Amino acid sequence: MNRMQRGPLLSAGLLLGVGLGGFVDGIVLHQILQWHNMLSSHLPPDTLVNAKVNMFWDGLFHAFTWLMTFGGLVLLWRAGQRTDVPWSTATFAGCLLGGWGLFNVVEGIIDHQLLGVHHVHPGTGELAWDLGFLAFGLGLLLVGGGLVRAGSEDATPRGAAVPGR
Amino acid sequence: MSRTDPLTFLGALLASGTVLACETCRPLVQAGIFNEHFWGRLAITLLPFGVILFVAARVHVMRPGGARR
Repeated sequence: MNRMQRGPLLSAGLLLGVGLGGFVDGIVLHQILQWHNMLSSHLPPDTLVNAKVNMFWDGLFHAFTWLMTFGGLVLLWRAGQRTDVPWSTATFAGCLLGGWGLFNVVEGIIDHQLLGVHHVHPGTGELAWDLGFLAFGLGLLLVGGGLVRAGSEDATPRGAAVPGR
Repeated sequence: MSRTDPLTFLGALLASGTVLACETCRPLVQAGIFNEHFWGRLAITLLPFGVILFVAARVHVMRPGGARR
């Protein structure tokens, strides 16, 4: 009977992927490119005060993203201590990509499409950018899912890894 | 030894002036953050993470074959 539990490694990789994907969004799109901020559709950052208010909400977004990453790290540490969790590189890599994709899809649907609090690249063609963001997320989910499936036969827990590797 | 309540800590951090370095526009920025929209905006910021945590929790308790505890 197969008593191996993949769930703890899957959830750890998923949260880490969400966190790292969230940081890509926050660092690249919010800060480096400055395409949007958390509330930039409701509060355009065209004055110093509005920019600073947006900066505050971006900061909270980053804080929650950090908590996701920290939670993933805790789950990964706990999974590594268990003898019933297969330590699969393919599964973990798949979950990292899947987590990033999950972040894009959930954030894209809720913030961009449903609530409209910001758009990926406001202005001409903003819908195309939003849909591209969603499509990229779906692509990551598909690739990640493929890797997770590829690792489904891995059954060696971390404690039983080959010494010296 | 007493433990620091995380919500108390966060509340104190958010309410402190240390998060707002610009002296001249600080009152306007504080008014722009801590207004009647604060809790709604906090909920908007939290919502995607709540959905993601729900998904992660479901995945965490997943058993082989897709069944859950």
